[in-house]
Amino acid sequence: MRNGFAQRMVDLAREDNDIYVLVGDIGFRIFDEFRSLFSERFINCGIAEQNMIGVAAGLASEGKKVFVYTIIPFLVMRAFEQIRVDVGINKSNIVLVGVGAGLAYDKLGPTHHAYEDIAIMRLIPGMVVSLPYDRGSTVKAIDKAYYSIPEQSSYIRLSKGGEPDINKPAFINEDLCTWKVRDSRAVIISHGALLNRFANMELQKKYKFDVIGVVSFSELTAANIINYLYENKMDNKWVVVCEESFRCGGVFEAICTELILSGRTLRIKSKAFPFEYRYEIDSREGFLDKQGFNISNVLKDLGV
Amino acid sequence: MDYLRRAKEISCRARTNIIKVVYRAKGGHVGGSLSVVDILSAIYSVVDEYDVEVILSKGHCLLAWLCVLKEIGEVSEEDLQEYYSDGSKFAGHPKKGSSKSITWGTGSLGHGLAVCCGKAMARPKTSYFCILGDGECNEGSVWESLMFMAQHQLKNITVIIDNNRLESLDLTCNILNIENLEQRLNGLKLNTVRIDGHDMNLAIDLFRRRLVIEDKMQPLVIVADTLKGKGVSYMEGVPMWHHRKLNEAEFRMALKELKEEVRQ
Repeated sequence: MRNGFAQRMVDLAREDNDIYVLVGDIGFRIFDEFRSLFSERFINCGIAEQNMIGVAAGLASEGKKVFVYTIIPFLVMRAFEQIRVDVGINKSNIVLVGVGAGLAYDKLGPTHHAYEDIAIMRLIPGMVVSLPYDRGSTVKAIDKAYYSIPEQSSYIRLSKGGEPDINKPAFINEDLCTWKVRDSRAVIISHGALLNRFANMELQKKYKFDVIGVVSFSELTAANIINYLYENKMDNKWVVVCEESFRCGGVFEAICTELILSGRTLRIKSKAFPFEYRYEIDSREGFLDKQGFNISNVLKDLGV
Repeated sequence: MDYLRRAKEISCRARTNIIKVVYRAKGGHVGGSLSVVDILSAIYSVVDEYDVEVILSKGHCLLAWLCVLKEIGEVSEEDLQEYYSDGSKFAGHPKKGSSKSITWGTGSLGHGLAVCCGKAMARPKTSYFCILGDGECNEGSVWESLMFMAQHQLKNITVIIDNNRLESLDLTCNILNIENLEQRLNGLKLNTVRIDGHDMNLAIDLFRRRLVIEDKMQPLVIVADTLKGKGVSYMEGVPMWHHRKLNEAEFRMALKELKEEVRQ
């Protein structure tokens, strides 16, 4: 995903002299081409994320199109108040690109994990939260964010690198996509790199389940998901929301809130990280397996 | 042009207005407004014909800014009268776009200089004045931005630290001491000058040099030593006047003192 991002930035920057990339001293090698071609528009702000967001907001206020890239906790947690004040309150829109979704930096420990970022970025009015799942969807997220400037800011949540490409889905709208099979018994809703554990035709046919991918999470996403399920007569199936984050402030909670507000019902369950910091040294895949983030476990839990 | 005379006129009227508005509105940071008002008066006495942007990073002293902007005809008497009232244009902190000169919203400390750095990079031909407080320099983000400004040699930025040496509860040196500021700033390889922040002659000279002459080879930090509550004897250097309403007797005493100062 991160290489897809860096390559796309080169393509965009060739056409647009106002594009800037700011990094917090990370991105070894991936920005080599960008740096060599557009050294004036690549700023390594150092390990000073609060300043980096302020600088980005200042550049954006003068018409620059700024992409800020670093590891998720340092980008959106360390500098949260800068995002709130200088991007949100001052309406100086930029693109935040965070790397290390969920447990992508598994063995670097809990300081580098990201279980809370979606929730806190949803709290900034007008912020679009993008959750790409592979290289192709990353490029789409970057393009969408680029064309949203200066009207809107975006937070793009990348996993890391080397994620497999997933078969092309059908798109419900620009926020949601689906991978469907015949006679499904359940619907898995997920996002980001976790989708590649579910969006797999062979697996879906075997276990008879559909997948909905949330590629962009806004105020309307939950209502769109429920509408889609109702309009396609899928509201009688089990729905499980699988998220590589805490449950708090995620897609499951958003759907539940919308269900209560709209007086509709679904048979819905949540599969998210336990609400605690993780200290055990384990690979991301190992942890996801142990926590049952695979279809056979999810369906077993439902009793279907 | 007699810049000093102009600055003195602005500052005298602005000081009196600060007192009047705080008394009427029962809101506003009076102490810091009185310490920064001479710096703002000096800036606005010289910037007329230049491409200048001011960022008041210590946004809680908005009232001083408004009172100075009133003197140059940017803020109306009515808007100042309505300060802090429900539905009014201005209250505690600067809101971006609320007046022509107010191009950035501040209030939370430690934000203004980073934004200023971004703006200065995007518009190298514009001169930026960024006003910080000494208490604000407790914020780590200020030092991140100072390092960034030095690293990128953002020569179109002039930082002014309104060094009134008082925070909300106590003297800055009793909280997180930032002195000696020049050495710290010189250590960051930043060109630094210390002035009496109420000596507008000095300030005007420095600002004019920054705007007119080629004295813009590097960024500059001005440590402006000021007195919190300057001009009102019972407020000067007294922490509680950071943010306090005035009763009638205090109000009358303050006006009397300021009038006497004008006469002198």
